This record gives sequence, C-alpha cells and structure tokens, in this order.
Amino acid sequence: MYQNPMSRSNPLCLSFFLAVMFAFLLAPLPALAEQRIGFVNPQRVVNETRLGQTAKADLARYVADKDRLARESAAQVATLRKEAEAHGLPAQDRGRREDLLRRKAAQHEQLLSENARDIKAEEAKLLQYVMRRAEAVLEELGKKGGYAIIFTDPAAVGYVDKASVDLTERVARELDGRSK
Amino acid sequence: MRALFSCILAGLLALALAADALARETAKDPGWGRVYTVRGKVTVRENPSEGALTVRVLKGGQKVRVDFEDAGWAAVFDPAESVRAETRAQGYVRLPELRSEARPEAKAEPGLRAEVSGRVVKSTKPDKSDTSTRSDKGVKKPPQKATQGQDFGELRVADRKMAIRAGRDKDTEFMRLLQAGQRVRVDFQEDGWFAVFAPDEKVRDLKRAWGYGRDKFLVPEKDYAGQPLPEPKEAAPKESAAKESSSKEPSSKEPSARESQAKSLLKQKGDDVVAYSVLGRQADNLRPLAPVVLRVRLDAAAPPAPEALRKIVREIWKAERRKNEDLQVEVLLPGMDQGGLAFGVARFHEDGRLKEFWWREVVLRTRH
Repeated sequence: MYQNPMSRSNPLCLSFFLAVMFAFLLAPLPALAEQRIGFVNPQRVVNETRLGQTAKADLARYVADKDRLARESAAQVATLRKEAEAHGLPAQDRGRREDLLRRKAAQHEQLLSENARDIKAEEAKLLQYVMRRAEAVLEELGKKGGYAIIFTDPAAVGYVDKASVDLTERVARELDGRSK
Repeated sequence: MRALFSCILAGLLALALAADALARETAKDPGWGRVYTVRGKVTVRENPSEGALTVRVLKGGQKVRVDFEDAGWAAVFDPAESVRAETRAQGYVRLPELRSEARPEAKAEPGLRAEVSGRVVKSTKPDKSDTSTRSDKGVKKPPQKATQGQDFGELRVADRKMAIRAGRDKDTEFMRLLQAGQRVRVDFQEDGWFAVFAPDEKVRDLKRAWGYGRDKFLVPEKDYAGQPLPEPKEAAPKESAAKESSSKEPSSKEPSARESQAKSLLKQKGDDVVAYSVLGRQADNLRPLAPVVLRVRLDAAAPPAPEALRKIVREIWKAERRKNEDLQVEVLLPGMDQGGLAFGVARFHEDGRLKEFWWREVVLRTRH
C-alpha cells in the first residue's frame, strides 16, 4: 500500500506546527503586559499641585493689577465725560473737551482689549510653565511604569478607569515633591 | 573800660560758640534735598500717581526730607537719610499737598546754598562768600553780579546720556549732550533743573552756562554707580554731539556684542549693592509699538521682596533705557533659564514711573 511520505511525517509536523503556534501566541503576552496606557488631567494637575496653585495666585495678582489700570482709565473717562457735559460751557470749550473725551474713550477701549490679550497670554505662559514641569514628571513616570501612551487631553478620552489608568494624582504628588 | 572789654569778649565767645554749633550741624547734615515739617496730614504714595497705593500718612510735627521733584510730585525720605538715592524714598507726595500742609525748615541747611526759588543745593566746598554775606537766617541770596575766581555750585555727574537744553523745559532747544559719567558744575537749581557749567568754570554767571539739565539725572559723584567716570573734559559741542548721538544710537533689533557679553553693573539700593547682568535686549519687529524687552539677571542669592524689586527695576530702567525707548524690564535670578519665564516684569511710563509691575512666584518653586 502506497504511503504518502508526508503522511508518514504527519505526527512530527503537527507537533512542530503546534509548538510554533503556541510560541507565537505566547510571545506577545509579556510585551502586552508591559505596554500600558495612562491618562493625566492637566487641569487637575494645576488645581491640585502647589506649583499650579502658585501659578494661579500669580495670575490672580496680574489680573487684579490689570483691573486696577482699567478702573483708573474708566474713572478718567467718567471725569472727562462729566466735564464735557457740564452746563454753560462755551461752544469752543465744549468741542475741545468732547474731542478729549473721544480720544480718551478710544484709548480706554484699546486698553481693555490689550488687557484681555495680555491676561490670556500670561495665563498661557503660566499654564505652559506648570505643564512643562508636569511633562518631565510624566515622561519619567511613563518610562518607569512601562506606559506606551499617556493621554493628556480629556476630550480625546471617552472612558477612563480611574483606578488603573488615571495617573493625575501620581503626577501631582511627584510634582509637589520636586517643587520647593 | 573793663566792662566794655568784657562785653566784647563775651560777644566774641558767643559768636565762636554759634559758629562751632553751625559747623557741627554742617557735619551732621547729609546736604541734599530739603527738610519739611508737616503741619496737617500728607499722604505718601507708593508711586508718584494719584492711583498709587497709600504707604503712609505724615502727621503734624513730623519731619521729612524731600527731593527728586518731578511733575508735581516729590520723593520723601527720613530726615536723617544720608544717601541721596530715590530707591531709599519712603514714597511720593504731591507737591501742592506738601506745600499746603508742611513748611520747609526756616533755617537754611548749613553748608547748603539757598537759591532764589528757595531750593537748596549742597556746596561741595565751603564758599567764603557764603559765610561773609550770610544773613541772620543763614540764607544767602545769590549774588546779582557774576562772582569770579572761586568755585561755586557743585560738581555733579550725569548718571546717563542726557541733553542740555537752552531752558528749563524739555521742549527748549537742544544745546549739547552729556555722556554718562561726565562731570559738570551745577548751580541755580529751580523747577527740577540745574544750570550746567563746565566743571572748571569759575564765574557764577548764567550767561556762561552750557544750558540746563534735569537735576535728577545729575547725581553727586559718590552716588554715581554707573560706568567708570571719564576724565573731565569739555563736552562735545552741540552739532558733533548730536551727530555722535545719532551715529551711536544702536539698532534696537538685535543685541550688540557688548550686551551679548554679559556685563555687571553695580547699582545702589540703599546701603546694599545689587549687581546685574544684561542677558539680552529684544525688539518685536512685527509690532513696532511693542516695548523693547530687556532681560537682566540679578546677582542676588535670595529673591528680593516685591517692594525692593520695584526699586531695582526702576534703577535698571534709568540706567539701560535708550532715547525715548519703551523699555520693558524682565528680571531673572541665578539658576533660572535664560530664555524662560522671568521672575519680575516691569513696564514704565515715559517719565520712568512704573506703569505695570508683576512678579511670578511660581518660578521660585522650581529654581535650581
């Protein structure tokens, strides 16, 4: 009876094939176990760290100073308006005061828009300063903890298992430990 | 006869004692500014501005020394303050308020020369004519005729490059340029302006003056903390000085070699000395109206308190500002990243008053 040479080596081939498949299936498991995914909420880092709190206090002081400038400017406009609207002024004098008021009001508007722009810029600078320090912590944590990806954009994440994935508290603790 | 002799002797003795007392007082007096005795209440503000914070209120009977008058405001100091430095001021008062609520010391400061306006300027050398013509109140009117053959006024130093003008007004004709550190003789102080003479001028005559210069920029030599003083020499005449000024006016674009190589200047802050180095000067080419940003590093082991920092940035502005430049000063501390966030930032009005000032404590938390 003719026997196919392949069928003769069948048990050997099969066991080899199974061994390869088993090895193939097992091989990625350690890698998968090491490559984790994490998430950090930047807003919480700012709110919950000393560094972030200090940055917020700095910003509040800056905003208060800008508000003071705006109030002073508004008071000057109000004074000029009162002067321009005073009764019994000669036409020439009134015209001069109204012109002064227009210029001052335009300056005031410009000051307000500049203040808003400056505050936004200062806020961005301070936030960036804190986040840069947080990123350094994040990088170290990522390397040590075997994280392949750490998300920092809450909008990009649909669901986060806080217990296993959310690293915000660890980052905040580490950042506090590094700051004076 | 003997009684008459005794009377004369007693008179002479009394005169000698009075002269001695005067001399002692001369030695004690710092010799600058003017002492006022407050009668009512005078508000002292942090900056020469109505909107500035009130730092204290002077009350009746209190004495203060007043100097650095500018645009209706003056800096007030402790009457015993010996150093004439604006950074040591307790604050600023409105001059009309001060004049209505306080009176200047009736007695002229010994060793000081009273001017027509009643202001006082310290004489560096004793002026014989002063003692010989001193009136009962000790106030001497300036001679109507030119006095000759003796030093007058005071030798002072320009603490920056500054213009000498034809009148006591910045809008008057430009006469010549004084270089920072240049010595001049000053006299006839009035309304915040000195008449400026050649340092070796012997004739106290306004006609011989080069012109007029702002008194606050002409400091006593001991208070000068800038570049080493050049040898006294005649200032460049008007035309060449103006040309030199324009030719030397550096481009505001990029830091010059002199600046990129960090320099250290000593600035007086009271008795302390604060050194700083200029890290860079940056103008925003895309926004011509944006201020030129000057970044400096303070050589201070500990961060200065905000109040001290305000004074420091004002001094830096005075020293570093170029002609009509809108200069923003950013202060870093040792260990801070040169291109990083600054600790203190200050913006100024045209006349040097602080317009905006803020500081960031966050940078102190991560300083190396």
